[in-house]
Amino acid sequence: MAEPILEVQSLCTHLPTKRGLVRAVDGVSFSVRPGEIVGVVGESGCGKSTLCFSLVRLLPDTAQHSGRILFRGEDLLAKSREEMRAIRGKDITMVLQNPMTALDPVYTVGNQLREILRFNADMTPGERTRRAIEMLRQVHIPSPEERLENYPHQMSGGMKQRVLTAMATGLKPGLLLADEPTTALDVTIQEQILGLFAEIRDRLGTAIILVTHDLGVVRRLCDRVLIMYAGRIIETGETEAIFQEPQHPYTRALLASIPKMGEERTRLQAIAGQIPDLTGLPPGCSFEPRCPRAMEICRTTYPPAFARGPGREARCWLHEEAGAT
Amino acid sequence: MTRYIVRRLLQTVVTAIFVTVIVFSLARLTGDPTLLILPTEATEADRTFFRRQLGLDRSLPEQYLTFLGNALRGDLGVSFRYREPALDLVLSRLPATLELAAASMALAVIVALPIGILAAIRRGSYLDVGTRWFATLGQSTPTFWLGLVLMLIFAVRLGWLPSSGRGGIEYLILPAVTLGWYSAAAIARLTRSSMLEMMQNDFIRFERLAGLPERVIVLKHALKNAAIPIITYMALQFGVLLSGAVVTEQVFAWPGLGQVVVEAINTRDYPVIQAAVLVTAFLFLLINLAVDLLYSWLDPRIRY
Ligand SMILES: Nc1ncnc2c1ncn2[C@@H]1O[C@H](COP(=O)(O)OP(=O)(O)OP(=O)(O)O)[C@@H](O)[C@H]1O
Ligand code: SF4
Ligand SMILES: [Mg+2]
Repeated sequence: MAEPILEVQSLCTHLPTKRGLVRAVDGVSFSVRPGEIVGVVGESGCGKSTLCFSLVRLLPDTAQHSGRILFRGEDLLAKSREEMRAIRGKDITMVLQNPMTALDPVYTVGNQLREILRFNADMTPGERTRRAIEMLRQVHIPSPEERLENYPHQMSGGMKQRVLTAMATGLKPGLLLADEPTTALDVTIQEQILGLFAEIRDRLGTAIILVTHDLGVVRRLCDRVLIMYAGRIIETGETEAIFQEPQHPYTRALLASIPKMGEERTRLQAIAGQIPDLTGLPPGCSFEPRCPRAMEICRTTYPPAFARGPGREARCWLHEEAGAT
Repeated sequence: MTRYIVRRLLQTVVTAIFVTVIVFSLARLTGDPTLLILPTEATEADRTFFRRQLGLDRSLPEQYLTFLGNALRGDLGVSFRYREPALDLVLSRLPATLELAAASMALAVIVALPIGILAAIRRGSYLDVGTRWFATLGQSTPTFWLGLVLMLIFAVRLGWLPSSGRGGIEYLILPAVTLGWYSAAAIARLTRSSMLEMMQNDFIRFERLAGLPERVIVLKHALKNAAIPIITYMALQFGVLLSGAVVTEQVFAWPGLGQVVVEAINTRDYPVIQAAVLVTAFLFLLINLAVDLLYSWLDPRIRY
């Protein structure tokens, strides 16, 4: 099996706020191999976006990081600002949730594409234009030469997300972070964009971290899944294994909340209770207040990651007999 | 584009007509001019005769049309005091005022833009705090007081610059600083807040993710997006400068429009006041027209 392109070790990202220290990412470890699509799933506010922005070091200066982020073997937490800038846009790229606002409205798409090439690659202006056209063609935008002259407001949301994907993949990055890339788009366009991601992975071997609320998307696209809860990864494993045999009570609840075929969307039952306040987590399992199977030990001691078969882990005391990893 | 320009020009004409209505009405509101022009011992018959002479016995719409017709031919009446056409008097003083206003604006922009941008990107730094102090102080300093203080220090004490009159660039410095001070503070404050707002945009985040240098993100992207509010505000400030010139010109004996206006008000020289207000209002309209045409160049979403 290939060496991981990304290896995150005990990453903590703590954000000081007026209310106190927000432990948005709290001791997260995982790795991603080249060409792998890893899904990150969890309720709103559990730290998915903060995790992504930590990886590219784009949180406010006040953010406190600890642990290691090894990208191609080098620790990104030890890099300088300028070194990080050189990595962003070229080796690690990201697409955001809302394509409608992610492009500068006062410059043409071509101007913005060429600009990214100008600062991330060594090309002449002529090469940049040719490459920009090629990049748009790769994401199946018709008549790319004319599209270069368009302003963002002259494009649809789906078209813009294609442009953003072109910008994020045109320089063949090792890792693409996609933070809910299709949430703002309607269903048919969602499918097309997700198809594009799969195609890019196949063609370029780019590893993708895909943050999403949509478990259906995870099942179709992701090789592995990280389930996040309150800033921590509480279960990991191959996608099919997770869907067929969820090990953590939270994962079970999440899967149970997927509407069955034919069921009304409005009947989607969220999990009772709320995610705990990230400024003051309880000492025990953070899911304990909502867990139907909570035990005495759950209240007092945070569960370690227990191995649940090859590549599978779950942070839940129910699996204590299997032994901690 | 042509259609947009034509429409904008028409709007400007309509606004200009409104301005003449206002100027006309204000002059009529100030009471019976015969009370001022004729000696107090004049008889009622004298006054009636005089009113007929001035056309004041006719209906207001009739009077207005006469006024407008004359105005269009460049005839805004004759100064009571100087017996010269009011418009000529005003136009002869206009270049000095424009020179002062333009210099003040240039100074304000040169100082305020960099300060506002730096304060926004170094939010919370000493520079930012200093800028906010400058903005508050600058906007609350009375112009005449600032003018006198500057004059005392740089003209009287240090003797570096002349204290009054118009001549080479050395004469321009103190009045321009005095007049531009308020606008510099106001523009710095607005630049800071607009830049802060623009830096919150998603596309700024995406550009950072795309590895663009911060310098390019700030100066090429955030600044151009912030340009519309900033330029709109500058155009407004130009109006502030034109009116502020009245005080500054008094302090530094600058031979501009402001002086003429003050004198005309003191002597109730209505034709001159009317001419000055009309000319200033037209200038302001022209600047706004120019700014509007600039918008569509700055922001492609603004359709013609
Ligand atoms: N810049 C910040 N400063 C302080 N707290 C922050 C900051 N960004 C996020 N947080 C907090 O960190 C926690 C995690 O937020 P994050 O945006 O990473 O969640 P998320 O999983 O991406 O949620 P969503 O699904 O809604 O996008 C939240 O409690 C949020 O309020
Ligand atoms: S550790 Fe306890 S509280 Fe937490 S999920 Fe497992 S059973 Fe529930
Ligand atoms: Mg998020």
